Amino acid sequence: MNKSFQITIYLLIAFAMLSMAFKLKPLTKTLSGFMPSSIYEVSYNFYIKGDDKKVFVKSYLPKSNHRQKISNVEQDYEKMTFKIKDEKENQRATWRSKTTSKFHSINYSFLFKGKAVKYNIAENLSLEKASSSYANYLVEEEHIEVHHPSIDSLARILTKNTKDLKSLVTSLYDYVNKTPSAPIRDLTSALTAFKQNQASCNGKARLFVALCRNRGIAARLKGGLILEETKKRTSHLWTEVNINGTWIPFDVLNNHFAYLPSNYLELYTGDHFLITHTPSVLFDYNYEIKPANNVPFINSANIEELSGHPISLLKVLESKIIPKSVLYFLLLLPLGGLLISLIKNVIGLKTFGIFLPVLIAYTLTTTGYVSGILLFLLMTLIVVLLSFPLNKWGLLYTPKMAVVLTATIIIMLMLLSVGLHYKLQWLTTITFFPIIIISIMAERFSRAIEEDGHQKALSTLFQTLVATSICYLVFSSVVIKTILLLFPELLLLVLAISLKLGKWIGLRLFEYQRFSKLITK
Amino acid sequence: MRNLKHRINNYLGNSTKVLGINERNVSLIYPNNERKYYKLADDKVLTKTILETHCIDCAKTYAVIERIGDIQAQWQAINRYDKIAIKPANGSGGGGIKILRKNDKNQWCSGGQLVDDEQIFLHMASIIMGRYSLGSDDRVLIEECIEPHPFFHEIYPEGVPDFRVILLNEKPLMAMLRVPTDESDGKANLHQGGLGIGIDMKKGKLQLAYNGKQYFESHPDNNNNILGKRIPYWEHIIAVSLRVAKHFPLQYLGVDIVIDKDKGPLIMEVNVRPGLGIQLANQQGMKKMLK
Repeated sequence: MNKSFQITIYLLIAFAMLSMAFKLKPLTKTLSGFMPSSIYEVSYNFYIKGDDKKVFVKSYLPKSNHRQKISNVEQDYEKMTFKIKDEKENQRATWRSKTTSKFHSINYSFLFKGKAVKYNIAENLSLEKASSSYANYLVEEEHIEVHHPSIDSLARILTKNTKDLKSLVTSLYDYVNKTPSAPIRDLTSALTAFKQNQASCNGKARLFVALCRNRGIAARLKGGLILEETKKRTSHLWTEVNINGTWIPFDVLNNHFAYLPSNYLELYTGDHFLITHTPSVLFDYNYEIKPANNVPFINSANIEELSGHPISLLKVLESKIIPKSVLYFLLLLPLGGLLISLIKNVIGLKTFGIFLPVLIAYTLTTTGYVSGILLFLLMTLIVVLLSFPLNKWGLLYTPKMAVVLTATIIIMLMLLSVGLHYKLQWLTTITFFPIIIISIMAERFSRAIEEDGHQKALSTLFQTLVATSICYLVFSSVVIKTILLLFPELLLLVLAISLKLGKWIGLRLFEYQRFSKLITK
Repeated sequence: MRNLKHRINNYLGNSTKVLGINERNVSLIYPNNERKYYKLADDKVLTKTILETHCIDCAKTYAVIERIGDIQAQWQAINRYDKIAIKPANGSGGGGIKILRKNDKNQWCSGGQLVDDEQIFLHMASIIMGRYSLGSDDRVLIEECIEPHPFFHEIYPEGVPDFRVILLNEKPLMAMLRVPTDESDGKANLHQGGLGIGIDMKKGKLQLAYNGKQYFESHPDNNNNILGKRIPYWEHIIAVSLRVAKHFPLQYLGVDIVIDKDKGPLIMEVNVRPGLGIQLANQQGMKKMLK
C-alpha cells in the first residue's frame, strides 16, 4: 500500500513539473512585470454631424507610465483623418472629416491596467520656493486665480501656523476637502469654488491648485476617468503637487491624500477640456468601460501559444463560460484546503469547521478584511444569542438548526435593509457570507461555550480567525491567483502535498509547547 | 556555544520521543482500529455487552431504555435501588451523566437537591432524543453507582477517580490515575483541571501528579501524599485491562478503570482515541514503549 502511495505522489509531481516546463518558454514571451489591480477595457465613443462643414474632434489619449499601462489600442472611424500630436505632457488626437458629408462615429478603445500609488510625504521638509524649472506650475491661469486677494488671504490664513511642507499642504488640502461637494456640471474656477463654498471635482481641484501655487508650491491639474463598469459621460479632475521633485496625486473630491486608486485613468495634465470639437455642430459622446478578463503579468497581445497548451485555463477564461471570479474561487479552494491542513496538522491551531476559514477568507476578499471580520463576528454573535433560548427549551438538533438558519436569514435581511436605508455599504456586503456554514459554525461555538466554557470556546474562535486571516492573506494576493490560473497543474502539486501531509507524523508546532515539560527535560 | 549545541540536540532528541496527535492517528489508530468497531467503544451499552459476555467486571446494568414510551415502565423497576447512575450511551466528556441517590425519606436526590420523577423522565427523554449525542438517537443506560475505594479518599475525598491504561496489541504501554481537584468540579479529566498522576507500572506505585501546569508530590488542594503511594489491586487492574484488549477487536485502546470499595476493579469505559496527556502525567514520551 505504501508503495502505491509513493508512486502516486511521484507521478503527480512529475506530471505537474513536466506540464509546467512546457509552458515556461511561451510564458517568457508574454511575461510582463507590471502588476495591476484594475484592468478595464475603455472606449471613447464620439458621434458628430456637421451639416455643411468639415468637422473635427480632438481628445487626449492616455499614455503608459509607472502606474498605468495602456495596450491593445484599436479604433474605428470612417472618412476621417487621424493625427496624434504631442503637446507638452500630453498626447492629443485629432480626427478630421475629409468631406462635408453627414454623420461620423469614432470609436477609440484600449486596455487599461492600473495600480494604486501611495506616497509618504516626509515630515520636516523645508518651505523653500519651488525651483524655477517649475515656473509654469506656479502661474495664474484663466480659471486658477492664484493671486486674487481672496485666494491670497485664504491661503495666508490657512498656512499661518504651518512650519513645514507637509503640514502646509495638509492644511490646504483639508480646507478644500471639507468644502461641500455639489454636482455642478459647469466649469467652476478656483475663485468661484471659494466664493460659493461648494463645488464639484473641477472647482475643488482648481481651488487646491490655486492655493498651492499661491504659497509657491508647484501644482497642476490632472484629468482623466474613474473607471468602473458603466457607460458614462463625466470625466474627473484631480491635482498633482510637486513635492521635492515628485508629482504627488491628491483628489480633494474623493479624499485621496497623496494617493491615486488603481482605477484612475490618467489622460492629461493641465487645465484643458478632454474633448473639443467643431463648434455648433451636433455632437454626442460617452465612455464605455468594462472590466476586462485580463490576466495580470501577461501581455495579452501574444497569448496564443500559452493558451494552446493542453492544460490551460486561458481558453476557459476567454470563453466567459464561467466568470473570472468563479474560476479564481475554484482554483483557490484546493489551496485553501491545503492551507487549513497545514494550519491544523502542522501548526496545530484548532478551528470550528474544517473549511469554514477558507470560505470566510474568500468572502473577505469581496467584503474587505476589517468590515468582513466584524460582520462575521456579528453573525456569530447573533447565532449564539439565538442558541441560548433554543438550548434552554431543549430543541432537537436538526429542527434547531432550521430555526437558527431561518432566524439568521431574517436578521440578515433586516440588516441589509438597514444598510441600504442608511447607505452603510459595508453592512450590505453581509449577503456575501455563506450563511449555512456560518450558522453551523456559530451553533458549534455556542455549544462549545456550554461544554468547554467561555475561555476555551473564545480561544477556538480566535484560532479560527487566525486561520481565516492566513487564508485571506494568500487569497488576496494577485500573484498567487494568477500563477494558479496560468499553471493549473499546481493543483496536482497541492494534491501531492496534501497526500504527503496525510501521512506526516511529526509533532504539531503547538505540541512542542504542550509537551515542553517532556522535551526540555 | 557547546552548551547551546548540547541543548539543541537534547531538545531534538527528546522531541522524537513524544507521541503527537498526527503520529497517534496515522501509526496507531488507523492501522490498528477498524472504523466499524469504533462504536463498540463509543457506545457504552455495546461496550458493556462485550464485557458482560466475557465476564469482565463492570458496573452492573440496571436498565437500558431505548424508547421514550418505555421510560415509565422501566423506572418502576429501578425504584427499588438506592443509588444509580444515568448515562447517555453515546455521550462524550461526561455530558448528560446524572448520579441519583435516595435520601432518608426515600426521595431521589441529585447533588444534594431533590428531584422529582418528572425531571428524571425529562432528562432521560432528552438523552434518547440525542441531546448529548449530536442529535442522533441514543439510549439511556442506568447502572449501579460506584462507591470509590478508600484508597481514592486518601488522596481526594470527592468524585470518582479512575485509572487509564493504554494498550497496543495487548501490551500495556502507559497508565495514569486521574483525580479530581477543587477546580475540576468533581471531574477527573486532565483538560478540565483534574490531576493526572503517573504510574510506575512495574511497582504499582503512584508517581508525581500533574495539573497541566506543574508537578506535585501531594494533592495540591489538601496536601495528601501521592508520590510513592501503593495502588491496591494493581496486578488485577493490569490483568483486567489485558482481558479487555483481548476481547475487543481494537488493537490500540485506552481502558478506564475504577476500584469499587466492595467489588474491586471495574471497567468504566473503553476509548478508541485515548488522549496524549498521559505522557505528561508520566513525564515521558510514549514512543519508547512502541518498539
